[in-house]
Amino acid sequence: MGDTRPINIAVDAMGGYHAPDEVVAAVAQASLKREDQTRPVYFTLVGDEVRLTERLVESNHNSERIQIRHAPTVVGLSERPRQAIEDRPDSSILQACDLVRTGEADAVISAGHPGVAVLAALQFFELVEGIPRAALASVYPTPRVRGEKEDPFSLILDVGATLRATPEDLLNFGLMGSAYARIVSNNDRPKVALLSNSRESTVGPDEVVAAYDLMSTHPTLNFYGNIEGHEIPRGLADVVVCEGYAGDIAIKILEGVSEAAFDLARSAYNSKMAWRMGLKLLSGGLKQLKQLTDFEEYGGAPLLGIDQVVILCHPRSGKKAIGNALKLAIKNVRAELPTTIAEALHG
Amino acid sequence: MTDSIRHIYRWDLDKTYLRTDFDTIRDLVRTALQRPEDKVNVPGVVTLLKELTHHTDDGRAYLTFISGSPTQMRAKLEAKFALDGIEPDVFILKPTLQNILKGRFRAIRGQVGYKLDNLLKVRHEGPVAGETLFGDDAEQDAFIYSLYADLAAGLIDRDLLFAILDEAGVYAPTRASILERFQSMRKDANVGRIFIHLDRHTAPGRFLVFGPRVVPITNYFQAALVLFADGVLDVEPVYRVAAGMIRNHGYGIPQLANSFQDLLRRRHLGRDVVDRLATAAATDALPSGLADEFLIRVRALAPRQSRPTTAWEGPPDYLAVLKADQKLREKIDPEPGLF
Repeated sequence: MGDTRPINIAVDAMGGYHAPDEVVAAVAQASLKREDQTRPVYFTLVGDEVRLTERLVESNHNSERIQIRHAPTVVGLSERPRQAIEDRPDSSILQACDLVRTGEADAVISAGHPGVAVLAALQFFELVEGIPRAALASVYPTPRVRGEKEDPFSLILDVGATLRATPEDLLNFGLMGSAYARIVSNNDRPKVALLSNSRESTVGPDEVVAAYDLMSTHPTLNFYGNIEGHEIPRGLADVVVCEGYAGDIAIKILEGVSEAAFDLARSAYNSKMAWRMGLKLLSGGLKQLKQLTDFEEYGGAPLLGIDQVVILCHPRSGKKAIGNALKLAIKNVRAELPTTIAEALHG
Repeated sequence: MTDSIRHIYRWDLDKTYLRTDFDTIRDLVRTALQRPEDKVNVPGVVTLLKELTHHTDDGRAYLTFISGSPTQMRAKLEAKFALDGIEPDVFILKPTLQNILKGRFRAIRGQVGYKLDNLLKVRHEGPVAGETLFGDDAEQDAFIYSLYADLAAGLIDRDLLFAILDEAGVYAPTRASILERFQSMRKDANVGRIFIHLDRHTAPGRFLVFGPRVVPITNYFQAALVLFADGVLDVEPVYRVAAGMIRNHGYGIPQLANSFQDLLRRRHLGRDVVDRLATAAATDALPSGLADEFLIRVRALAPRQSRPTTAWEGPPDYLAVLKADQKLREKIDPEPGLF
């Protein structure tokens, strides 16, 4: 008989530019989705109880599946992570993590301060054995499809859990990313690439050159080689590995390019009648393209390498992005992601 | 000898007592053809109804059903009641075929005229006692029941009633019948709680306009808790409703505890209810340890902030509610385009 334990997702309801309105709206909508009878899913909104209640009563929702855990304070997006964690143990993000630590929840989602969320996760949870550094993994759309599910998304990690990484860290990121791609894309043998400024194995920072050697000789990793920045969106690899500083910049460029392209199209739409007609004719296809490239569509980035499921969302996330992050969290809990990754790393 | 009537319970049927899908023609046909034994109850409803209506030393409860289902369904629905062991004193169904033949198409879907007319009728013909009403969010039950309660309390005059019926598009013969019944109506503020089962999970805030008398509920455990807080039910029946939902409908402690917290948050219950329930935690109604587990969870979830329940400010502006409702129905919310 399969696992029948209920799943409880703790949601930092006060994190992000659009909190708590968009977070509550996303959870309210998720509560209306048909339940999987084998493992029913519940949601715990963590934050200012009065504000959350006010928002919730104005939303269609299933109250049987939502509880609110009061957290009186919030960590602002401009605060220093270490100081904020020390000063505000009663903040929504720390309280949400605490629910997971005590076993009351199975996963935590936050669109709040990413640095605080990562630091809190590292303080509250254990790293998977043999993994000295966790990594944030984000998916991005590509023209190629992969795996049984013909998934158009590639994975890039680390996108900001830490700034720098050693060659061993980069190898571990590759192994974790590979394990994660197997789960989310049903991709049996994901191709893992190392982000560099050249395809040549001897060019680039020392850490990248050393990581190339480790990855290319690893017995289980399906190593593709180095790829350059312009090759990221082409989807040559299923998993792209880099240090957090570079990854954070890369993923934001990808998001920005998509947004800028549609801004340009809107500008063109308003400039000439002929362009307007052309864009109108193309609007169906463009809408599909926007759906594919819109970061809200794939919402959250899992923090890999820790023994719990933690999903971080962009602070700009709206209802759709948070909703997709909720789906991802549920999927990762069902797949027992931390255990699966640990097994992948240790054979 | 006739039993004295200690309380009157007035119920809607579809989506309040029975789980019914009416959203498509296929749903309608399937519902019409469904055998009594295949009809599904809303979780907890039968246990709650039996707890509310069983005979006591104070007399018996009087039970009426006014349903929007067509009269042709009577035999099947009565058989369903018999299967459930429920014995309504009055069971009224809608003359849908008659409405079609008379070309009164608005009356096929409209409920205001039909239900209000029949509520006034059964009030006139039935016993005198306090009343508790049960409806759902699929139609306009909260509106109709609140209006009925305010008419009973003498808070609405004839001119306003006429204007409300006019705004609601009630046909002239029904309107005349309602106004006539209203003239001879016994004025007595005897309607207590109005429970609205949120079958469609409508935002509970939409019912705030009707005041604290209307309690939107997600399930009948919530109704049992409010009736326990009101002193209508003892603690054992509350746990029996919970036990039935666990046993027959797959409910778990998290759902029940979340339902409890929801009522506390919405200020329909005070925190004292948790302590009162705890006094009888060693109940036989729930499997061993479950009541304790439930109470521990409820205490952990109990809202920390406390604000008073909205005060009763008199009848809502029924005309404004109708107009707002109409606007909401007409509202078209197209997906924003790219350009």
